[in-house]
Amino acid sequence: MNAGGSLSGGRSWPSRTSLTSSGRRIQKEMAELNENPPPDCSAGPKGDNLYHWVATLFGPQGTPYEGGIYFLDITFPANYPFKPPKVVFKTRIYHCNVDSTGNVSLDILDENSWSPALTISKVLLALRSIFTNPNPYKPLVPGIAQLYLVDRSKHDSVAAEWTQRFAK
Amino acid sequence: MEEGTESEQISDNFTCAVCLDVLYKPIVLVCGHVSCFWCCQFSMDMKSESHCPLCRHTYHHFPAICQTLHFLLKKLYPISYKRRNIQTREVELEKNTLGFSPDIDSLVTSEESNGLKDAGQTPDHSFEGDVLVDPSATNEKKLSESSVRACSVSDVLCVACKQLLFRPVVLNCGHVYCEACITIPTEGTLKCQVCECRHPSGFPKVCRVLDHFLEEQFASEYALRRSTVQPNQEQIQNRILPNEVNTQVPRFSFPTEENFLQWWTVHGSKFHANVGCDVCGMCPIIGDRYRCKDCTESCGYDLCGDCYNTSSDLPGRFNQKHTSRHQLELVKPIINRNVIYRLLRGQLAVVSSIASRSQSSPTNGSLELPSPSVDDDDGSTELPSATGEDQSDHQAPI
Repeated sequence: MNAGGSLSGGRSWPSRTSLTSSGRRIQKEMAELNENPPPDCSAGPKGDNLYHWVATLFGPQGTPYEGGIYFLDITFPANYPFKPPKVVFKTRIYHCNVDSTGNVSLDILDENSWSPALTISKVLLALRSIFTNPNPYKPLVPGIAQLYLVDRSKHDSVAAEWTQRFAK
Repeated sequence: MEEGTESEQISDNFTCAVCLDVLYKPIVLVCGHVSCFWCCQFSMDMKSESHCPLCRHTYHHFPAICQTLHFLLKKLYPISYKRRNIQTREVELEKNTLGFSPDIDSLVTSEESNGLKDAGQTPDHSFEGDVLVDPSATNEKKLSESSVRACSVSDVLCVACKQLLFRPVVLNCGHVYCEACITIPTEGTLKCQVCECRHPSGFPKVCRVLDHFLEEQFASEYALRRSTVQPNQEQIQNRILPNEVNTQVPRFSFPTEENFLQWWTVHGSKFHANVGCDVCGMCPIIGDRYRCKDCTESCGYDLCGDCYNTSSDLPGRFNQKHTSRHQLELVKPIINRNVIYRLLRGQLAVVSSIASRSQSSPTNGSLELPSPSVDDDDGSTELPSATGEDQSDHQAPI
């Protein structure tokens, strides 16, 4: 039995009074995020569609991404939280785990390692941690990973330049 | 919006990590973590082993609802629990192919009338249940205010020693024992003393959520229990450990991406993807599978070989109206599209690894298989018999 494959997702908020279980869960997360937002990030629905969010991450201090503001698109599947949300960077970033179209390689967002007990707040924290600790051993852009391992200072200066150019 | 009117503050202990709401029809996994019936069911992997959402501990059996916790929560949070009841019912009706979660409240009263359950415990449960279901608002309001006081030690007793639970563990059948009250037989699997159901998943870990609650709620009684149980604790640890190793060994290995081909050739004829046993909860069923011919529910009623042989006449996990008069038949596994795809991928990985071994490195690209075209090339020659089934049975229910 597959988890709610036929759940009516999409535009179900706020016009419908009875929400699906995935919608209720997303609403709970939204309330929780408003109450205790994780440091240096924010997230919320894009418009009136509960399943489509925009998140903002601030480049952490002490990294080449410092001062940058990164926008991300988060799309929830209809059977969330049993399948992971899709996260895409909308702001260009020089990072070995983010490719040029904005796809992120983050282990917890992988279908096999995702757990329904994870929340968007935890996903944002994990994304923040790849700013400080990129994972060059599972890269999406091998060239950047190579440079990160071989010449860290050059990598950092290029990343800082990209931050200036795209994320301000 | 409807939540806004509720005044009940749900303790973090009793919040389901999956739906972030109050636990509803709670299920306790072997690792001691709790989730709602449907939250657990939906997070299970119907084709391979499942993992606890909280600690990723692997398990193969979908446990039965823990009735002690169910009635406790119903007493503690009558309004929220009622809301969850209505919401869950709506979802179940909407997606009627899924079946329904067991109707415990009526189950208990019927068991009681059959004289199956211990007389000392059930009456006050079902009585309390009736009061709470009563829709009159004033009644509920009053109850919510006094709810914390309303639960007493008699709601949280060990089924074996009949005292307040100390370090509670929950078996696969949903019955709660003190950790110290469980004895594993030197041979064979652990059986519940109350319902005689096998507990196939190894020695259960303490259910921390319930343990914390007991410690807070019944501080003095809990301390008393601790002082009496503690001296024996070391002894228990010694007794558990050797047996634990014994019971942890699974009888079947489960397939992984890497070994699927080899695994399939050995166990393929015994692997029932997407089908779970309605008594022990084994999912997917590995071994013999018996299907009920008379159950009309769309989710069906199935038993694994072991449960068929012990011939217990428990109702289904999804509220099927199965009775002992129904006929069961042995069924062969259904090979679906997914299995074929995985088999082909395995086959091709083998082929390409041979190819890359015989040639040099440039063939690496072929390891990442473009799936659709590959399907057509080898599909017909490899498994000619299986292709008929693949469309319809992709989502075979339990």
